[in-house]
Amino acid sequence: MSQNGAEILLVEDDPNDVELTLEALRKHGLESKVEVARDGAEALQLVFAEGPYAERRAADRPKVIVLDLKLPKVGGLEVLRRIRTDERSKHIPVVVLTSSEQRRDIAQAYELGANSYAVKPLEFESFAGMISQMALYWLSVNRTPP
Amino acid sequence: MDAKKRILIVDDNESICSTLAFIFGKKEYETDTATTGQEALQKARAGFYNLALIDIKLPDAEGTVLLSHLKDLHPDMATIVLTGYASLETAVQALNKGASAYVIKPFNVPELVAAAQRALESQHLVMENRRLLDEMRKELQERERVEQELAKYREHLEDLVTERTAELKEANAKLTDEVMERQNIELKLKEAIFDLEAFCYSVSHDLRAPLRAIDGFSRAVMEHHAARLDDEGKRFLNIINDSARRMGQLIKNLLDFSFMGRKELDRAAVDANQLVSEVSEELRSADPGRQVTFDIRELPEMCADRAMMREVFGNLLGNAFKFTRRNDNAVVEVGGHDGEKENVYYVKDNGVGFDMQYAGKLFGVFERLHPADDFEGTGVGLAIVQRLIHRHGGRVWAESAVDKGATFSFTVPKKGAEMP
Repeated sequence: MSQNGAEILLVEDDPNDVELTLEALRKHGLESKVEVARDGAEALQLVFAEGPYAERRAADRPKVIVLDLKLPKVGGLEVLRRIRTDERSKHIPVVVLTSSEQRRDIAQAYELGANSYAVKPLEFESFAGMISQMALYWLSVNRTPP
Repeated sequence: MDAKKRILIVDDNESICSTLAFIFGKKEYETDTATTGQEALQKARAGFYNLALIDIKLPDAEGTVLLSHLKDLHPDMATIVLTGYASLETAVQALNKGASAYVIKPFNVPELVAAAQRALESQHLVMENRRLLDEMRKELQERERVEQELAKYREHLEDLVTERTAELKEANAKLTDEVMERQNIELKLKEAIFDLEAFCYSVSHDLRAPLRAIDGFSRAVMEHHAARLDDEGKRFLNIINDSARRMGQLIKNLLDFSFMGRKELDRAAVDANQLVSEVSEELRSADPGRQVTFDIRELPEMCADRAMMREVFGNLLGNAFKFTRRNDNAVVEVGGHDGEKENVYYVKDNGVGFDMQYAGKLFGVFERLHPADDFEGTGVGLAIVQRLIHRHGGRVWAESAVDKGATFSFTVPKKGAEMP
């Protein structure tokens, strides 16, 4: 795992989804921009430079966090809440990317300050298209606060 | 008032008999005479006398013997013994046999009458006493009987009360059981609904991830390793891919079905014409290659949940669109009319139709009447239609014949006429 932070932090516990995401980004040469956290606790350590990631600097923080909701240890919504309530991370764009189409999840995610909510499509083609668009938008089009 | 008191005069001297009869007759007594003990007994057997005046010396019997016989016959009869000589022995004997008094002959009349009256009086008292005693006894018996009856009733009443109490207790217990059972069922229902919601959540979330992996990795194999696969291998991969997508579609439809069944009904006036043209436009643009004529007649306004009705028309028109695929002159007709209590709408096509003997399966979940190779679909659409129409209090039915097209009709109750 790279010691320096990547631009996209993908918080995803399903290894298949991780691999498919990387597969989709490979076509655009963006796979190296991604760092993966396998659960909510690891994601928080990464963002706040704690535990194994204590050496991280503020500049290493990701430009966008792609967050699944159903995660081991600390759930996605809780991760989102902690990111938003912490001065160090409250402006980092968070894109919720999940299988859940439940209205409750969508409402809660926005309530907690998600910047976007996307449902993973079942077909790989649509999934790959969505991932690429998302990466390009948040890395190239979107401007993060200085 | 009282019947005349009867006096039997027994004396072998007829003149004494008639004299006494005369005297007592004048005193308002009924008299009878007998000159022998035999005759006296005969008469006494025939009827009751209040008083017998018996001469102690009779030709056929001792007066005292006759007295005993008469007393046996009528224990309450008063008797006065007439005796010709004053013998203390005879008098005591007579009194011992139960005589009320004795009068010595020759008697003076007032004395005899007075003795007779006293004897009658005492006899009357004895009889009255006996009557009273009898009455009392009877009353006592009656009282006893009543008491027994009362006791019986009381016992019965107690039994009845016990019985009713037992019945009530049983009914109460049953009711309590029923209430508890109902509460139990309600709890179970709530649990079931909770489970169902959890299940839906899990389905929508967890079951999809593996499907995405199946689809994604089979495509990745196609993309990166196609050169190493022969045609059969590629065909298999395609089947894997299609199956994963199909399963995804099934899950989505099932969730839609569940969601549509639980969603709150939001009734308002709905412009059915606009709804149908929206749906038909959508179908056209989704498959621009198809040549389908939509013949949309004037539709009455409906009081319904717009989103649900869009789903209903979406499914019915979608089916009509789909099942006319083999017809070069496909026509989908949508019409309806305004009824008194409900509006009727129909969607008619000239497609492949179906055999009416399977009409019963038409609206079941995952029921399909056509092979998937011929017409794609998951078999949930009509189940959703039926559920939504039922939720509006309406009915839905279909008419068709193989290769003769199909007509699906449904009703929507008017405002205020909807069934509970």
